[in-house]
Amino acid sequence: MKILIVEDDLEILRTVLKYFDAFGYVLERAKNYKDGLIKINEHTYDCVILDLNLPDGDGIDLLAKIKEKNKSTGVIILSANSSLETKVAGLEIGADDYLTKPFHLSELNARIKSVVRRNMYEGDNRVAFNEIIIDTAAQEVTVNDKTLRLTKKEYELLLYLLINKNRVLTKQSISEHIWGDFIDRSDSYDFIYSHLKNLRKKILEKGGNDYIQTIYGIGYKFSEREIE
Amino acid sequence: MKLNRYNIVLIIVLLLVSQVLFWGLLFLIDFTSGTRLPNKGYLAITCLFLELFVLLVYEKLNTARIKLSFGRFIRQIKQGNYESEEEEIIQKYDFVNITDIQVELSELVGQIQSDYKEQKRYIENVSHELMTPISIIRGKLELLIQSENIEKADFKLISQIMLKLDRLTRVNQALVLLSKIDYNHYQDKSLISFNDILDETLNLFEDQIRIDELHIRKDLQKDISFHMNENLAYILIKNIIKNAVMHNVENGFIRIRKIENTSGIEIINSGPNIDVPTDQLFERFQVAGGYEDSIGLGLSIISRICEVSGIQLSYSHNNGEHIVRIQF
Repeated sequence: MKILIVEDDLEILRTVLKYFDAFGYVLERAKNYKDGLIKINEHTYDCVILDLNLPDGDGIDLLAKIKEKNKSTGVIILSANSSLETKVAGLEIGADDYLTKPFHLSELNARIKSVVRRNMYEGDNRVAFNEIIIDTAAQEVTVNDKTLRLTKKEYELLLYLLINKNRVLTKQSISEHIWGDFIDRSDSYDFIYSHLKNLRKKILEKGGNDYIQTIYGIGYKFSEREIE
Repeated sequence: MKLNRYNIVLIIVLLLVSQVLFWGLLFLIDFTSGTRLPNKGYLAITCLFLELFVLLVYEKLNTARIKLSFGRFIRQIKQGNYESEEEEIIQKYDFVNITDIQVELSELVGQIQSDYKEQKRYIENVSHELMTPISIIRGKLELLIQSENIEKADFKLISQIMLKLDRLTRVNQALVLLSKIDYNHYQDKSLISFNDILDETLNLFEDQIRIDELHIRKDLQKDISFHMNENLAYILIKNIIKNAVMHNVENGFIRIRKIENTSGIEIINSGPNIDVPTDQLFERFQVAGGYEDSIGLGLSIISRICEVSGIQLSYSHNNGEHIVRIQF
């Protein structure tokens, strides 16, 4: 997967690049409008992460150019402006998604995956981890080819964990992903725990393995258990 | 001294009384001494002019005093010295000269308005500028926790940093929102149906409601609608419901119903008694009880939205019941 990130803040750029290194994406960067324009003219990307406030030009203008060149390139706007209208305006002019600073890297990853999946014509709608397979088009989960009945939140939780497999996910990022930024009481961490407990139980019932690991004080990680 | 009808009458009466007393005195002298004083008329007129002169001098001195004290007042305000209590300033300088006050005050109000706007803009800029560094810190922490070599104790430290960072983010977002409301950023208005918004919001909090075993009774026979900004309506209801859920007790209740005989909604919830006086609750950063997670801006947001939308907001509590009323 080929991704371009257009962002004038070098530290954010570096942090995102470092995080996505582990996912095996092909990542390219542009630190201003001019660089961004050259890159999008020369290459085709699956996804562009675009900061709207660039020092030498309007990010919205760049967005139009990206979509002009290739409609199926997904564009995720990154902005420090959290107001609802800006979100709506960004989506109206053709962005596929909108993420507000400060964002969780794991959330950005989930958004990229979802945008790319949606924009590919005959894309692979399957997200898999060993015996667990999620069909994102049908919103169905199977474990060892047996259908798993999940609630909406359990489904979203499992998909989020699988997309960010082998990475430590913070409770905050999970909470924001499932409930949005409105629910901010640490109680929501109890909800994560109780949903995960149910999820774990359901997967085990279908003969699946328990891949959900608790990382003390921080959050969770979906990965093969290390042999101790 | 203002020359209004009352003052003119007062002056005339004073002059008449003094003339009567004056003539009385002259006749008394005549009577007791047995002689007749000459030129009584001239004396009386001289006396009258003297009185008028004294009045005039008094009036001039008084005006000068007013101007002096008013000037001091204006200078103090222009210098931006607001340290002393407002009431004290006004009591100390008891001035009454209308035209001067009008000119000076309109300048003063203009100055205050521009200072106010400047301050709001400043808050918004600062909050925006903070989002990028917060974003970087959060990103770096996310990178850090992926490391294989972190000790259990370190995870605890990192998690504490993350919690505080989240709080910082929320304070910032709330301040940006408040300054946007103050700026009239949310101007578009439409007819908002509160039934739908309430349902959506209750749905958002279903996990909390389920875990705390709260009993919800929503009882709006007819839809209640009001002409206001849609975003603000959502933010308003979310904040009210959030408070009702957060400051509740296990197995408690939330009742939502129409206020009788008027267009408005009443949200009643069970909850522990609060230790903050009701009138202070809506001030910024006022947190009731031991709710550490609360940033203390939710109620400020509620009251600000009501103010700019023309909604009458009231809050009361008794016997473990908290009642929020919004009246349109």
